Amino acid sequence: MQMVSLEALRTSRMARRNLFYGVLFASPWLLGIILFTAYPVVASFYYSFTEYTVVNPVKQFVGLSNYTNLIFKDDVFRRSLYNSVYYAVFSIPLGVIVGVGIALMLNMKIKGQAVYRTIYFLPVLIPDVAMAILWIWVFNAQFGIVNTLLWQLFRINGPGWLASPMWSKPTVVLMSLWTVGQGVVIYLAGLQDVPQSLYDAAEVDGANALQKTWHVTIPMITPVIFFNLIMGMIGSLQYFTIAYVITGGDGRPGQSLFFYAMYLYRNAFAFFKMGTASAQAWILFIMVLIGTLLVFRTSARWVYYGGEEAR
Amino acid sequence: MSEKHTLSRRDFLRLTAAAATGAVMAACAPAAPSVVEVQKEVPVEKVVVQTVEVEKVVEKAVKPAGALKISLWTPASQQEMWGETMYKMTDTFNKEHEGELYVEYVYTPTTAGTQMVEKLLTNIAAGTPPECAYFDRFIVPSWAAEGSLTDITEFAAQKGIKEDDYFPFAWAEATWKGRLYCLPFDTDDRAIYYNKDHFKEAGLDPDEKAFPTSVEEFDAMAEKLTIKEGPRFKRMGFIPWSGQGWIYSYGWTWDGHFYNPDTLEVTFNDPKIVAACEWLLSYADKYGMENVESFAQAFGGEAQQPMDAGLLSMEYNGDWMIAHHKRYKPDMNYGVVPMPWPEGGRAATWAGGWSWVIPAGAPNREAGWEFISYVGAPEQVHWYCKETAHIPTQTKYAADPVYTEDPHHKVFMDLLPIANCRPPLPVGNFLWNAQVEARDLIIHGQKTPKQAMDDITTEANKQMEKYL
Repeated sequence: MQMVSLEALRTSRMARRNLFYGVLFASPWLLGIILFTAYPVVASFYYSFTEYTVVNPVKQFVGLSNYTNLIFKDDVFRRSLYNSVYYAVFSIPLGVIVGVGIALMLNMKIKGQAVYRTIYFLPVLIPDVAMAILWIWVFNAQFGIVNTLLWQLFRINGPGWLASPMWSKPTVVLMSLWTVGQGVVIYLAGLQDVPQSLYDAAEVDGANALQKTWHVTIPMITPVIFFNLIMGMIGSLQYFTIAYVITGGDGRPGQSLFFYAMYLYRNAFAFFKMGTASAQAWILFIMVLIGTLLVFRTSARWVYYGGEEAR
Repeated sequence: MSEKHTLSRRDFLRLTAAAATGAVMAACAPAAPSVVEVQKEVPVEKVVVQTVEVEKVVEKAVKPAGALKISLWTPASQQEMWGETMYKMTDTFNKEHEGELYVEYVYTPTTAGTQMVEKLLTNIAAGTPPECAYFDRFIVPSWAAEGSLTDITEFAAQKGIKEDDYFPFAWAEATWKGRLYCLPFDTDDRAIYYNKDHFKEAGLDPDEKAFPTSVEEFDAMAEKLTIKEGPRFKRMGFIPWSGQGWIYSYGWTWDGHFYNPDTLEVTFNDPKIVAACEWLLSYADKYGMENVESFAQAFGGEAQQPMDAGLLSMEYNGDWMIAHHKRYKPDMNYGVVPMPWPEGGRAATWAGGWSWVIPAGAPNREAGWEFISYVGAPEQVHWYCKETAHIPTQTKYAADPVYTEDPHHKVFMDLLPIANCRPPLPVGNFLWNAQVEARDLIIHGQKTPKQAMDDITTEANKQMEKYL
């Protein structure tokens, strides 16, 4: 593609026409992002400083009180935040470890490799709602397959899983591993990029399989891990659908599954509190932003880009 | 590895990733909250648990040319008894008004275990609401105070509809600041259902007359009826929070007052209500919350009702369950009695019920009124109530002997004159959800009863400030 300088733009009719067509062809996307993303973002920022009931168009300006009430006075807000952070802290590292582990195994050159890869990816294709309903039954304390097997194989009396405030969050963390196939596909792509020459060199140096994995494979796929880490952080702080379906929206038992996004949704669409909900959305955005920046800051220390010169 | 091989594998991966993205996006679509109304505990009035089966094929009447088309939005799914009956009413209306009016029946589920309907809320805000909606009556003041319902005082006056025709609680819920915002439809009240066969098995007297009125005796009976196998329950005598066992239900039985009708002050922290919550907690402690919750996980769905399944011997529930049991467990030998009360308490019940509204900004208010005044008229109310075991809100029609024919329903009818109703305040919707949430927190030991009730009181009175 040809670079067009500003000067040329002003003078050349051809360039102007090109610009016009360029904008014209991009306009569906431009309009879409302005109407459905940019405008709502700006509007929600404004709403977060108002009391706005949705049905009543009057928006009363209340300054920072939506934010201060949430942060300092609302214990449901704190509980839902704790739940979401808990979920993120346990599900992300677990997802990375299990994901990389499975990817390494699926990368071995064995018969039926493609079949295994497909199998591990399949769960990702199941819609969240259908999956949530299946999980309800899998983890049912009385009749669920998990507790039945625990009892018949090991004579262990299984916990209440989703019925117990103590076990419910670990249970949904376990469930999150079910869709680890999403990450596995990306790790596999990363594994293809590890140069064979490095393995050959390691072999010459007498490295065993474990050493090759630890000193060659893992460092070479750190950019992919980094990517998954950030996507995981954003996704898990927004965790909503499965918990919503399992608990019918109220985060039972004992609000142990009442996640941040569920509280936001409830404030917005059940309690007429669009202002508060907007403030919640912005707090979430700032938290994700800070989290991402922190991960970025540390990345120089552990993420290795093969194409880069050693620093 | 040859160059060619590597490339093709990469292509494969790219394609897979693309397919994955597509799949994830597709998966996001059905995750929209409207479809999510799947597994939840029994909500307010009617059992709104959706089975995930394919919609029954309903012959769609073809809209005749020239007829004005309006919409009715209702959370009554046609797969449930109330929705089935309501659809038939709408259909009859359409046949009678052929060529003039056509009402489209639209199912709109409620939001996140509340009685709000997200779709209705956003459409009122956007200025594109339907002409009519079926609405849980106790949240009418909440919506009316926000200006989101059409004031139908004049419409009603023209038809000669007046306050005296209705039960006082139904009228109270239908109005805000002296103006009428909905046409009251049906009502209901609540009592204890008990399985007489289970009583015989446990060596208890199954006769209604022998049923205790003291809650202590009742608790002892519940223990006797409970069958445990190892750590697991096979059957439970009573679970206070199943069915319609809300904090409201027991608060009134303990003779508590949830608000002061003169000052409109919310008083959830009434010591008697706190005592009722302590009693709820005593069940959680006695039977072990985790065991009870595990056991109760098997309940759910209209056809998996715990009493029908023989899992529960006694349950606090509404009169509509008579129609339910008749359909799903016709041979169950059961009795109905008022909820026993503690010392200082009293026989109590509470009435709810639904209503018809015209959302604010509806395009054809006259046509909407035409429909709601039709379905709100005595014949239709009668028919609906008989089909679904509810009670008309018009006193004159509720007095019809048909409602006392069934000995079970007679118990509910006898209780109706002393029925309470939820505080008809703009915070009514908040209070409902707050007491649902508080019950969950209390029985799981996350909050003490006193703390939970104090929190609701403080927050509700703060919210009330702007309406006083």
